[in-house]
Amino acid sequence: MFKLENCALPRLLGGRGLRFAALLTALGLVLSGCAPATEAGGARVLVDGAAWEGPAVSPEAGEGLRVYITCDGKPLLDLPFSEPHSVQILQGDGAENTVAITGDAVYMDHADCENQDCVQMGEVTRDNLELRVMGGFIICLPHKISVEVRDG
Amino acid sequence: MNSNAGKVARFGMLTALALVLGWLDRAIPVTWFLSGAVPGIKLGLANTVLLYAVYLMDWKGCVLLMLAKVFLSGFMFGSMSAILYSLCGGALSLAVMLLVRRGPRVGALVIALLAAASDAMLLMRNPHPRGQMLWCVILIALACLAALAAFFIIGRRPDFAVLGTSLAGAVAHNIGQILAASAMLRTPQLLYTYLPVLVGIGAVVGCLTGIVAQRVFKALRVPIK
Repeated sequence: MFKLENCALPRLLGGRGLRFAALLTALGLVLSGCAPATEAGGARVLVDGAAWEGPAVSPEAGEGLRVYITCDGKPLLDLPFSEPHSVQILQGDGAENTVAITGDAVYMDHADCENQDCVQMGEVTRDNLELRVMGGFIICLPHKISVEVRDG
Repeated sequence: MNSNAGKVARFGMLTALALVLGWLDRAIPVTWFLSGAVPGIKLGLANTVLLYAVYLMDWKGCVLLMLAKVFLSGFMFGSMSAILYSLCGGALSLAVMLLVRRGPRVGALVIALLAAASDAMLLMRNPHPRGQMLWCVILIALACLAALAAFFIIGRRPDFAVLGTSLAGAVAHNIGQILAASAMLRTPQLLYTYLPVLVGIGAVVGCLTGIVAQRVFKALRVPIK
């Protein structure tokens, strides 16, 4: 008679506690994968102080470095790396991030998150793109914002 | 200490300890030594409590303690997303620690291999590392050596078994968190930029906490099965 308890693998994997913990991990991953994106829908983007009305993904991108900004996994906008801009992202729950694009560097200028990791990640330039540990990424985990510099 | 009252007292004490150490984790800035290159590094002192629980309590107690730690410290210091990250990290690290408790040498060896693989991955991405990257490559190489050393030490001195469990638990915590983060942000690129570094840092930190745990276990006369 086939019983799961008699199989070698579950015994090797060490009993119920382990399976329960593994289940919890899977549950957490699934939850974070399909976390409802309520606030992201309400994210407002201000470029140089004016509301952004362009497309979330620009169709004519293709040449040179571009800055891609996403919130909660959804693209918000992308801009050329070489044009100076200040991008402010305001989310429904009061979360606020400001990304500065100076023309030769991109950095998180301001964020009202609890750990300030994104502000401390420093700037992405043309020269350090390959040298940075995080590559072209600047990420604010608490606000689920990612800024990526890459070729269009 | 097998009575019900003893169990309750032990559980309460460990929960309180986990919360206090979780606060201490936030208060000690570790990120500065990599000058902000790698965000979100903590000493992981709160996870040492889970390590003690793995040896002191049964699996139900461990799971309950992990959940209590994640939710209480999440509501006190963090946000909803922080709870999800640490739930994934905590659950995966608990699963791995429960698994590795029976074979800590294997755990240490696997971590050494993982560290070597992530070092190779970083070098493949950037064959001539400079600056930040160079420091990270050196750090991960050190982590690999430390895990190998743990492998040999555990073989010779069985009372150092905690070291292997701690190493595997710390690295698994980082892997769980980064999996959650990349699922949440839909950026799988995190897995090859950020994960190798976190494996190395997890191994270094796991070694340190493992040595502390070994001392504490010796002083408390905790049986190591």
